[in-house]
Amino acid sequence: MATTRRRFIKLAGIAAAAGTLLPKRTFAEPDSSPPSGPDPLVLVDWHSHVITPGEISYLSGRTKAPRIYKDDQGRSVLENLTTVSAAGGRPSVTSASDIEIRVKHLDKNRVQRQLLSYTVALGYDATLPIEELRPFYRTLNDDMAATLMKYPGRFLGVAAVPTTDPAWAAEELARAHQDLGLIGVALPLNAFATVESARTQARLFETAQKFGSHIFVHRAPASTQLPGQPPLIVPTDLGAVRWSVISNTHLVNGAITLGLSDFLDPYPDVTVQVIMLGGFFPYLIDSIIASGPRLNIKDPLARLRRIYLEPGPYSSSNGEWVALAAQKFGADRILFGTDYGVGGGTSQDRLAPSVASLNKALTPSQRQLIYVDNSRALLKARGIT
Amino acid sequence: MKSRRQFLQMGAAATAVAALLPSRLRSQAVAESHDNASAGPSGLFDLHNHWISPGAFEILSTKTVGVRYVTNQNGERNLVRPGAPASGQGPRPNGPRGTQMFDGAETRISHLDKHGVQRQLISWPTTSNVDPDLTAEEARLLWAAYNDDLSGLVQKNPSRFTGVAALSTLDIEWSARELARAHDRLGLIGGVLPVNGFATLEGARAFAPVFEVAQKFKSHIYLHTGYANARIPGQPPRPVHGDSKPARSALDNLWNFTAATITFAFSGFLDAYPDVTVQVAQLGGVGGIALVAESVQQSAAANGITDIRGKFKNIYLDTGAGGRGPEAIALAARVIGADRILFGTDYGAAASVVPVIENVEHSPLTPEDRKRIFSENARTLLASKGVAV
Repeated sequence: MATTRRRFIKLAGIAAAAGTLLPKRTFAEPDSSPPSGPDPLVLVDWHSHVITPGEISYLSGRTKAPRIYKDDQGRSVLENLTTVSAAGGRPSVTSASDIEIRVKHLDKNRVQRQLLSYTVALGYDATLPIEELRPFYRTLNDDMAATLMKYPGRFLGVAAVPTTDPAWAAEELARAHQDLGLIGVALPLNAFATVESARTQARLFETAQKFGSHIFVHRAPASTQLPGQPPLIVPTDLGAVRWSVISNTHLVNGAITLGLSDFLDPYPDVTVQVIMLGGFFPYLIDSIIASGPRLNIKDPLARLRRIYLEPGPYSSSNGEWVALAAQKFGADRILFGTDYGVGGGTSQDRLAPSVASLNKALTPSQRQLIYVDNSRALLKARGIT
Repeated sequence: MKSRRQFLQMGAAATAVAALLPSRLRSQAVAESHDNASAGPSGLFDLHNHWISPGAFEILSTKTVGVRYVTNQNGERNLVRPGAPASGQGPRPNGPRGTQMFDGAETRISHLDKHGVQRQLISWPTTSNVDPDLTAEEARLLWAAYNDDLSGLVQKNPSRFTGVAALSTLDIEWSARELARAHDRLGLIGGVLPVNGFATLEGARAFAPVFEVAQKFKSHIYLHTGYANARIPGQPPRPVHGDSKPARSALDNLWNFTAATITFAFSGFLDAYPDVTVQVAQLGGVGGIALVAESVQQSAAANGITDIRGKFKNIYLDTGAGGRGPEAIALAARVIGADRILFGTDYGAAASVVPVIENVEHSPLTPEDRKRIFSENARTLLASKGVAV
């Protein structure tokens, strides 16, 4: 399996080397038209999801939610449960991700690679017992590694690991690095709802420090066995809007834990990516910084900037918020991301509207950082040069 | 029973004191000065500020249990609540925070003159969460006394002050009657209620009797920080933070104001009360509501909402306290519209109006929008309530 790792690094190196040869793109004017031409506009889309064949198979074998079954039209639908992070909602059509069309979307939009993760938001960590999670996540990780092998240079991957069993998660992270060619793990945000909760993941982060892992933190419930979890608040009116507020609030709490507290201090080589700009975080950053003296933190902004923010769906829907984050937090700590691939199957092209929106909202120098430079630096730190 | 009797007895005495208040305030008002020592803007309308009246303070000082005021040996006034640390209020030269919660007309008007504030809309500081800890009887006594005091202050300084009545969130029927009294007899233009009572549509509906009266009188209802009585359903949980409390508290605040603004803007609750105007403090949790509003706009095809600003037709957001930063004000203007934003300083809880004036001045707004926020929106609003401006 070491061969796989070597091959991955070699392929990554080739791709990155190609990146260094790219001509410096200038952004003289906002440009919302789809990019064209052979040169990458964006090095990495750091926020995408895949549903793997193994995931479909496993969930199809379950008799209660979360499960996949055939509806009366013969379609595979996912039935999910309500958690502190999201409503279970009606069963939704799902299938394994179409990677071929994904690669075409990458090519069309001149995006060199995508970071793949499982669909963390589905909340498996909170709804499946640990005895099921271990083999289930192992299957997802093996599937992801197979995709990386099949499309060298086009994808990066982060492994699925459970928050309930950090010791096993640490072993799986080591396997992910050593055998699967992945660069880290995806974790549910609420594992970082409080410092108390985050500390339960210390064993995993010790291993992450050893490997210089990248931690992809996605909004989702953590195991209900973790302490310091947010309360279950199920909206009784305006559900979609109020769930959005819940989600964006959870994201800020995660960003506070990871950015402001001392939790990350022992893990300086670990990089942490918080999706959706940390929710309301860009707006609250001034208030959070102002709280620094009361928390005996000398330079709250410097501390917060240990994490990366990544816009995900806000790239296309709320470009102004990305601009606010760039202004307040620094464009050098923002990664390009789109939330591509939710629901599996043949995904919509989320890349084009994201680029169009950000081209309008960001300055040329901000785009250079977010589209290219930050990814290059982050990959270089991962040994991908 | 002894303490309860004492409370009522002292409450009656305090009410008598309050009845004498206008004469005292009249003498203060003589000192009204329109000298403008500020080089900044003038003619400002400050619609978010607070005052704790002498009568209300006296009543709360007579209590020996529950939420109450205790004055320490240094003469400092502390709001005491079982299970919570004491909250200092009032000027504290050596304390962590100076306030002007207890000032009189003279002190206040002098400060306003100095900084170009023409008029204030005064309210009880619901932030102190006094109301949810009161019995219905206590609430009726306290708020009636406060409203009498506020009326006295307004009537003696009609060119400088307007007021909204404090109301009970436990005895809603009484609050409806008190709102009518506030309009009919006290010269006030509406009421102030704690924002958390409106975190959900279910909670808002509990206040229907108040809003029915509000519709009749075309009231201005002010939503300010705080919890309603626990009987009001759907309120946010009271968070207990084990770490990073100051940072997480700012988030709690955002959540609370965003939740209420969502209720008013999108639930249809206000449809039955088309002549009621609603003012949500702290820019309505603007960071939250702006993101929500933009997301709703983006999904217009699915949700049928194509006119976001139309949803805020009778809703005003003010610049007081949290969310008062220059970028927040500009964000609110961009998403909701500058014509929906009111200037408010949180004076009383804050010792000066200056910080928010500076924030509005530094906000990237057009001169026209800045003028709207500083004065024109309030002038139009207050004129619609029959206030001579």
